[in-house]
Amino acid sequence: MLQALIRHGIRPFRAFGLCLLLIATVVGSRPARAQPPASSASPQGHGPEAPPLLIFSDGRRVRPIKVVPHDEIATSDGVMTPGSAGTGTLIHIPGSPDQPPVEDIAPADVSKMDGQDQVGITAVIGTDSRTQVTTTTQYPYRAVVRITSTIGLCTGSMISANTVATAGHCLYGDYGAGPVWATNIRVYPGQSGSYQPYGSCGAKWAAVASPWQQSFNKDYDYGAIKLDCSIGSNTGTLGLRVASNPVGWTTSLLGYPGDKADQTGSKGTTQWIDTNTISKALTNQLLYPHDMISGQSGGPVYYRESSVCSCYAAVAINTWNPYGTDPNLNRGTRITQSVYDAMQFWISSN
Amino acid sequence: MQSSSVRWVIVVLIGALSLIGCGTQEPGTRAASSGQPTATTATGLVQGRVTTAAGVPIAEVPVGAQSVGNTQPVPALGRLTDQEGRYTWQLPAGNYVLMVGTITKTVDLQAGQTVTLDFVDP
Repeated sequence: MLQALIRHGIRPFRAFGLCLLLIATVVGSRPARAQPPASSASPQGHGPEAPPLLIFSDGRRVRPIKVVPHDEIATSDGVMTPGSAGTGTLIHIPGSPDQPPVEDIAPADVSKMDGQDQVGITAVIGTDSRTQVTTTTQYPYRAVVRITSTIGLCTGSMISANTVATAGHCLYGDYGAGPVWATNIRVYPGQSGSYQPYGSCGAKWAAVASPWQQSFNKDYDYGAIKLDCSIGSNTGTLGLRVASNPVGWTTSLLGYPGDKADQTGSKGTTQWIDTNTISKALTNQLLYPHDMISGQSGGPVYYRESSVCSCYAAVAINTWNPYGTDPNLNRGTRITQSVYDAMQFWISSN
Repeated sequence: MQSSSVRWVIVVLIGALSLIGCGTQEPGTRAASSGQPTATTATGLVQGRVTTAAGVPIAEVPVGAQSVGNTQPVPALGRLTDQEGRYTWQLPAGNYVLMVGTITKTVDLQAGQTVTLDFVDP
């Protein structure tokens, strides 16, 4: 280009200056980017898209760098973390002070609840096939947490000793008083009725993706909570799985639905599960017929991996009741490479 | 003449690239400065109280919402009542079923409307 400019009568010094200016302008027009994800494969759902700007409740706005977890496993079509079972050590023993005796931890009387007519409750697809998890101190159920905050009742998954993955709308949203962050966040791993086997933890911060915070873009409806404790060492963690095509995979959805009551009548305190197959995969969402009700936002849609590890990993974060062109399928935010990278960054953040 | 037109092309090119460069901004940064999401869906507000039959407010009760016919997207969270048993939920205009436990009530919510739905939880 320099020679071309000189040939066209521009003095060498000026031509050189123009080239420098041009190069500087082009380079300057590119925003600083994190190191691209290591995976070069780019099938649908886990392409090389870098995570968006991440927004923290303490005011930080961070362009995440790539963090490769020490336990990352390469699969035939992506990457995953295997999670871990943790020690399982209980914080509260049944019958200890402030905890219910063993007999009160038994399942609630669900005979009047299961299979009842759910007219108008359209996130239950057909007959309600949810069943109560009564063994919430077993892995992976103990790694699933009940979340309460000023925004409401949600569910989440331990993904590190002190990090919980959940839906973005559980952490930041507009429910009538303008867009706000959730405050007074409490997390109860493996809660079952009034029994809280691992106690509860508060939050140091919450974080969501910029497109959720800016415009409530449902493709970016995910977030994380940094706890003020390390209870994940006890409860264990769920892995995260980037899958190119999880349609047809048998998965389970865990959560704390608000329509279910424990023996004392408290609602949204018991853990429930439904197992079914993934029906449809969009670029950033998975659609499935698993039954669920309000309170199960943020819960894991997970599967049992048996080829590269014997482990449990989430492929989606449950988020939305059915809507749009698929009125009979619930929705979750897909664990894409971008979501995976954001989660790893949050795990590494303090 | 020829060198003059090359100069003009260069000037225009630099100007265009500069404009592109100036326009490159991290997604949503502008909106972030005001802290206001840009969603513009017409919404209404459902509010109410959850009490016992004796009128005693019930705190920490999840109130759920579902779109009738699934025409509107509704997040799968439960709004929790405060210490006075009150809840609010801003939703896109449409028909909804609101739930407290297995008690359900329907509402046809219009844009800009505030509807009160109280629940008695025995």
